[in-house]
Amino acid sequence: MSFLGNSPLTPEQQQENDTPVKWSVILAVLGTLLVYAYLFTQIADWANLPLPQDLAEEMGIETENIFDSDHNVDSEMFISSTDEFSNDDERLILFSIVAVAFLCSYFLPMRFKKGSLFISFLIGMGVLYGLRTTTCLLLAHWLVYLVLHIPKASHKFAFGFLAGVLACIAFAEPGDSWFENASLISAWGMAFCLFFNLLIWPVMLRFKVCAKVLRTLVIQSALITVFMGAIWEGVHGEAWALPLGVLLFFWHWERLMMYHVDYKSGRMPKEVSPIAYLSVFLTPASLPNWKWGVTVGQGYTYLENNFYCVDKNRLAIEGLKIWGIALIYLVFNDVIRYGLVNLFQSFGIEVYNARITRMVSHYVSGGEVTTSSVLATTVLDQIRWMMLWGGSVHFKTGIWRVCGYQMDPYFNKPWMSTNLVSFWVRFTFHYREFLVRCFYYPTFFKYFKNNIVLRITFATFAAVTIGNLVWGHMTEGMFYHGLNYSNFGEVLKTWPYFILLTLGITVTELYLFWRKPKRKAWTLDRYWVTDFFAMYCTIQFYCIIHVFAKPSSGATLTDCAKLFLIGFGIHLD
Amino acid sequence: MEKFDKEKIISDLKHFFQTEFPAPDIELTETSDLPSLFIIDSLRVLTTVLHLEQHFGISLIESDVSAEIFQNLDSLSDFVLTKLQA
Repeated sequence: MSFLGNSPLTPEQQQENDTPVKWSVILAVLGTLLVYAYLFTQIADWANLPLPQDLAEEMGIETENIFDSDHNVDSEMFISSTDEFSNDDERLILFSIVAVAFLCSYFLPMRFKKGSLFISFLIGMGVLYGLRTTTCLLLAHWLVYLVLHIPKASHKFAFGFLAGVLACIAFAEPGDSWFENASLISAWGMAFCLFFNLLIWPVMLRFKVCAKVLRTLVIQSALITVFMGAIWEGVHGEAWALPLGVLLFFWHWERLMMYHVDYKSGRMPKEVSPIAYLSVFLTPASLPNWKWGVTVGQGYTYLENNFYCVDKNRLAIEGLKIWGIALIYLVFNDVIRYGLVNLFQSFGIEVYNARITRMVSHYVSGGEVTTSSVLATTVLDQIRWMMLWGGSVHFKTGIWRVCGYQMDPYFNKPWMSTNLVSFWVRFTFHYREFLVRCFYYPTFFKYFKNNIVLRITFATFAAVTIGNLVWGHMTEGMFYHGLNYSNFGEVLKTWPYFILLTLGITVTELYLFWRKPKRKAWTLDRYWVTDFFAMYCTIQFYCIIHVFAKPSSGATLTDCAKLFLIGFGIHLD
Repeated sequence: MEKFDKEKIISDLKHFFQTEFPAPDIELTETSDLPSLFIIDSLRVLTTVLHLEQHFGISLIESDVSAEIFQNLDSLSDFVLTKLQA
């Protein structure tokens, strides 16, 4: 799909793409999910089938670094932040929910398709995380919905009341009797109903500025909480513990920002039904590895323009292909990683198990690091990360596709990039879209309109340094490591990575702007070698600057800078 | 100031796309899908925006960068014409 995305679709076009049922496609999707269940869960054991490891050994496949102690595949696909069930059982629930979502979306009439995805999500979420967490997440999104899309007069009472009911289920302690619980729910419902009907909505309708501020506050609630929580911890020494439902909601902050960009641009209707809003964020594709690839799906317009934009059977087949790629990543991730590590070590190049942090630790503790080690370790670390993420984000993408969305893959052959701009497009596609749409475009269209160099430089700086650092790495880091003041410093210490990336992308943009390439990359001609060299330089540059992004504890900026220079053959020690 | 009508705008845009993003094997018509054939990455979007601003003397805003407007030469020339008349 193109950079600008698809054009808006008419309901008739979407209906046309809801093509006749093909049983072969349905069987292929369900069969693939069965293969996943066989490899990643205990169903083989329950069904008295040969276990995956035993089968692989019988087939003469080398099984080291593939299987875990229960003889099924040891993978990085999991359900985040819950220990209700074992990993294998959680995966089985996930695959079952995906199967249900696919069947509903495939068979139901167009007007029920999106709703069915949301309902499938709710069932899966309820089973995996429990009622309170599910309700808490739903409440958070419901409050955003009520602020962004003020309901019609006829719905105002019910929608406000529902917010109170959700809040009661999420936070109130249940009473002892049926009557007590009913009274409690009614009281919370009425309180929220009055709050919205008498205060929030009248103020928003009367004062446009207040409405704008309130919308920004709810969209930026994750970032605001991060800052307030960290400062609170810094002053009082006590870290906030966020309810899981709220934390899971906060992981949607980048997509909420993209939804808000669509909202402000006028490219989406101001009146959106609750189901249409909720099905943007809450679909079965959110369930696996909740915190990974959180930008997949983007905002309202992207999803709307990609829903049933082509034949549903074609979408399902494309989804299957992506699941196939995901399977390779999930099963062979460690095999490839250790294979590469061993390969480099056989040439006498220490690569620290493909981890930059280990290399930095080794260097900080007085160990010697060679140029080839720096170059190889930084590349292998990125390959390790990409393969780790590739499995789950491709699986997520596949879910979107089989459910009717022409979702772009998160990684799109980044090894084909011959410059940093092309790399930016191919690597972490949806995250790049977040940076471009929320930071690059607003800056590019507002500042330095008469100076191309400043215009491009400033827009790139806004996206790659400011947006990437504050709204990307810092917020994410705080949710991973806790709302602690010290975590600010840890993330800020990585500033050279962002500056170097900004510089690299800006220079590439300006170079390509002034000196238009006359030849398509990877054309089989005598310049093919230069493509290969450009590809290596692009990837190596991106990888080596991660020396600054992944410092180990105790490493100073000088240590990282020295290692960075060692990568270029400059030894300052 | 140079006068632009729809025909002239389409001809100028055609020349721009053919020289800036050469694709000898693609025939560029008024209905060719620009996003999938020519404006395929962020840099090409920016190059096109800068050309529209400099050549036609119009000013674009963020929400103008959409698949609807940049769909083909026909929609893009309509957009330029509307901006010029505003």
